[in-house]
Amino acid sequence: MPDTIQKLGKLFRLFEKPGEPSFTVNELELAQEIQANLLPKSFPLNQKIEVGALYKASKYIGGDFYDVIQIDDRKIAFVIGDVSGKSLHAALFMAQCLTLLKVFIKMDLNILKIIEKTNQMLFELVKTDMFATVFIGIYDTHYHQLSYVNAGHNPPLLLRTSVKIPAKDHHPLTMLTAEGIALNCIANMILEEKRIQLYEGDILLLYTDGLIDASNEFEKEFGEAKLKGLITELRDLPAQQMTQKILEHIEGYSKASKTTNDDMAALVIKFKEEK
Amino acid sequence: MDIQTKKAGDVIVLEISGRIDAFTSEKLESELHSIMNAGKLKFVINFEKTNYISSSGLRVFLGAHKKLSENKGQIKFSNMPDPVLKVFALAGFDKIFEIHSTEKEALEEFHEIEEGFKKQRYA
Repeated sequence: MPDTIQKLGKLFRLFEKPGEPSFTVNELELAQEIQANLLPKSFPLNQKIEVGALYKASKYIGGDFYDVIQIDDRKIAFVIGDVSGKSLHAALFMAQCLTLLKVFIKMDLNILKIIEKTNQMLFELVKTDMFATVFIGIYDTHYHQLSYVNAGHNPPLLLRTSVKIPAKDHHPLTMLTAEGIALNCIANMILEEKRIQLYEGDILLLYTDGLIDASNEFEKEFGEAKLKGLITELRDLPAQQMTQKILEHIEGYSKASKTTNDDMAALVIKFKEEK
Repeated sequence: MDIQTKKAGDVIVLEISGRIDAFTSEKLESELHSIMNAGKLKFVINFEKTNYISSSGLRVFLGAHKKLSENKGQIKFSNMPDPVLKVFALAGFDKIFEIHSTEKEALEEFHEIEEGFKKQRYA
């Protein structure tokens, strides 16, 4: 019982800010449940892709989000994002972002339009200083091409494992960078669309900054280089096991840290052989 | 995180040392708010001694930028170490804010705007 009381006290303090209303445990649990329901429980087109996911909120409810959305029988969208801030407000803003993105993705809009329209809606409707970084990739399973936009998010990592790849595309590890700006910062988006050819055996890691910002007891961050090494090392595992191992590894690295870890989210997508 | 505040004419200079993360950014936010609420509209943030900034820190500056823009104020940055600049650039914030290499340069920019404004007014 004292343990439970301690936990409840911690839960209350986490969201208490001077001058702002505090939330009850019931409200926080409800928010947690709503948020959990927004994230996908299963993934589509599993004959063409294999997906693993991880989600670890820093404070019971988080500002990170991901989704895998089937647009039609040929196209599939991968989304990852990070909302700045840590509170119920951030969780609500995250829900607004993800819902808008989902609607515009399902409408099969051009990838630039998806981000532009979401930004426009957020900028007009949501009067907040919060912003969201988002990466969206749309994979055409027929042409094996990935179109993507990056609105200020950590560039995903693309690992090539097959040797049967044309020399021009044979970069073992690529970062999917593209010019962009986070959502809800300015009215008119600055954004670039890019396209890349994918091959059987490719592995895509979409992640949020909580993974690389986790620090050890000497306040040294885990960093991008270690993450690159880690996915290369884990490449032969099934996607879900890869995400589990990534989480275990980062939690192990940061267990003696004086600072609390940020929210962490990641998607591992393995592109399968055409049957 | 530690914040040193000084005045350079009508510009408020904030020197931030240490980490600006999810937990320290609240202190930064309340400091900025209290100065803005006192009617100050021009800010230079000197990051020379800042060794880390997270997205929570960026949010504080975006909020200040939005609030200041409504009142014709501005916030400029200076002396950004590479890891801090990398975080700003990644989120595309280098396209929203003016980033100067030195505090002096940022202050001079404010001064030039003021001078230009005066010349226009008395021309």
